[in-house]
This record gives sequence, structure tokens and C-alpha cells, in this order.
Amino acid sequence: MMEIENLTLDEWYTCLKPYQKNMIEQLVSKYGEEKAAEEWLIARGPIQTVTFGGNQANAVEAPKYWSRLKDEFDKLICGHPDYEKEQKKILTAGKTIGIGSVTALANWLSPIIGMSPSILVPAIILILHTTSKMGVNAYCSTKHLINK
Amino acid sequence: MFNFTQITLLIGKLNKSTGAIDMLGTGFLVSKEGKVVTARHVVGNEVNDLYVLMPHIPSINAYQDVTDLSCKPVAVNVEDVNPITDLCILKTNLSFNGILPPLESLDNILVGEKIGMFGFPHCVMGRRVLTYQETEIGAKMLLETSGVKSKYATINIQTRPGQSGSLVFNLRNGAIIGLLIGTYAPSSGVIIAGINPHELNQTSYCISANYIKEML
Repeated sequence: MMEIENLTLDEWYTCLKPYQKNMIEQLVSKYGEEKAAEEWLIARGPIQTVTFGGNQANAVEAPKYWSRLKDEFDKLICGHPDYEKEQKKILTAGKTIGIGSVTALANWLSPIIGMSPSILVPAIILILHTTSKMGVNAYCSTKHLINK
Repeated sequence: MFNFTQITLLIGKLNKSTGAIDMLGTGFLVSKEGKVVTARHVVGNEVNDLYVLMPHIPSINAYQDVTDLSCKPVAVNVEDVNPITDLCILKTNLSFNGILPPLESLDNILVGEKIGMFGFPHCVMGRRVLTYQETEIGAKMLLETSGVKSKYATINIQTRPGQSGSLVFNLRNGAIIGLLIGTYAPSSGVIIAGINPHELNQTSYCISANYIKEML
């Protein structure tokens, strides 16, 4: 079983650009960590605003991206065979997920979630921090993964 | 003044069933290394098959042939997304040798001052006409997304689908002060011929360009 480095939120924030850190800090102070990750992922600009152009289908899909990220994160962290190759890479590199692993996680999950890695990074660090506080074993013991 | 016609670009996505590029909205070049900004909702969560279309006219005074469907697409990657401010940075392999207008902020313009805007109204319906509009700043606002407030301006002009991502510049010095996002339209509970009547207002929103600068 892999582990997540025991880092403070400020240490995880070093993965972020200054503007991302600023926005995520505001979201965390308002919603707490997990809900902040969700709000970041499903935000679509200011409320009561009609936009002019682009793919409007994505707006309907927005809430699904969060549950997709959570499902895939759980599979990756908790040893689901869908991520065997990625899990081996983490275990070979020292068993521990830390700041240096965040970009790789975002790149692995991006095509499955259907969002760019850059938008996933802030949400991933918040989930990693929450999970690390609980411990991977304890976290995964609450998950019942389905082999799809 | 700056040559805005050469930095305002169409954003498109390859339609694999037709082999053509579907036009999604407007964007503009913000770095000499080929970074282009647009509204995030223009590309949505797409990461594949995105393109910018190179300028099709040398000057805004050229007659734009709407029957000419040829284009010069350049592939782009999504480099950064800010879902709170609805901004997206795309990266091309283009390099730009001209002088780019500076990215400033709505802090640098007063209510009532004149602005110019370049964009592609109706491009989502297949019409490619780079269009220039002039108006003035009507108000400055703080709008909220998920509890985070950002700086916006009301501009006193009605805009059309396809103009999201248009550059908004200060007529006094040519500096880019904003990017067109949309318009105020709360749900009315009534849709007439597919239109929410609240969308038929005469103003639009732009977001302050300082939020673009911090993403570069």
C-alpha cells in the first residue's frame, strides 16, 4: 500500500501558482478542504451570467466531474487494478506520494476525468491533504471499489 | 495604436465527423511565445482537437468575404484554467514579433471612459467576421463565484454569441483592460423561442485583465 507524505496545507500549496493559492485559500476558508476542491472543479464563472459561445453541454456535466475525480482518485490510491501500472510507478519511486507526484497524478487522471491537468492540480492537493490526515489505510477501508 | 486585427484569433475545435473546424468563440494573443487567452467556457473542458485560426484579413478595413471558408488552423494545448474567473490560457507554437498591447486592469480606466473591442460575433453559427465595436465603461462591479469576488465591468453594449473572449482595450492608450465574458441574465422562468427574455438587455460584462496577467 502506498502512503501520502504528511505535509501541511501550506507545503502542498507550493504546487500551485500564486493566483491559484490565493483562490484556493479563499475557498478553503469558506467551505473547508473537500468542498473547496469540489467548488474549484465545478465553478463556471460568476452566477447569473449568460455566456456567449463555446460548448454549453459542459455546464450540465459540471457536477459529474467531481464525482469522477473522487472515484478515480480512490481507485488509484486504494490499489484498484485499473491503475496497476501507475501504482507500480509510485511504489518503485519510494511508496510515497508527495509534492513531486502531483503533476503525474494530474496527467494520469486528466484523460479519464475529461479535464485538463492544470485544473485538476488544486483539487488533487486538497484531496491528498485530507486523505493524508486520515491515513491511506483508514481512508481506503471506507471505500468499496467496483471493478468496472 | 496596436494592430489588434493580427492578435485577435478565433478559437475552434475540429469536428471529426465533418473534418471542419467548429468556431467556438474569440481569443487573443497575450505573449510573444504564443500564449492565447479566451474565456474558459469557450473551450469548456475540451483538451483535444482545439485550434486557433490565424487572422484572415490584414486590416480591419478589408472587406471580409463571408463565403470564403478557408482557414489557417494552428493546434493549441490547454495550458492553464481558472474556473473561478472563467479564463483559459492556450499555448500554440506561434511566435509573435510585433508589439503586444500591455495587459492592465480595470483599475486603470474610469467609468465613462471609451473602450474598443474586437471579436467574432455569430462565429458559433459559422460566420467569420472580425468586428470592431466602441462603447464606454458603464460600471465597475465585484462579482462572486463560489464565494470568491473578482473585478468586472459593465460595458454599455449588447454582445452576441461568439464574442466571449473578445479583447477590451482602453481607447486612450491601447492597453488591454478586460476580456468579454457574458451578460447579466438571471433565470426568468420563461423561455420564448429558446431565449430567456432577461438575455435581451443592452449591456455586457468584461473581466479585468489583471486576472489574465497572473496566469502567464
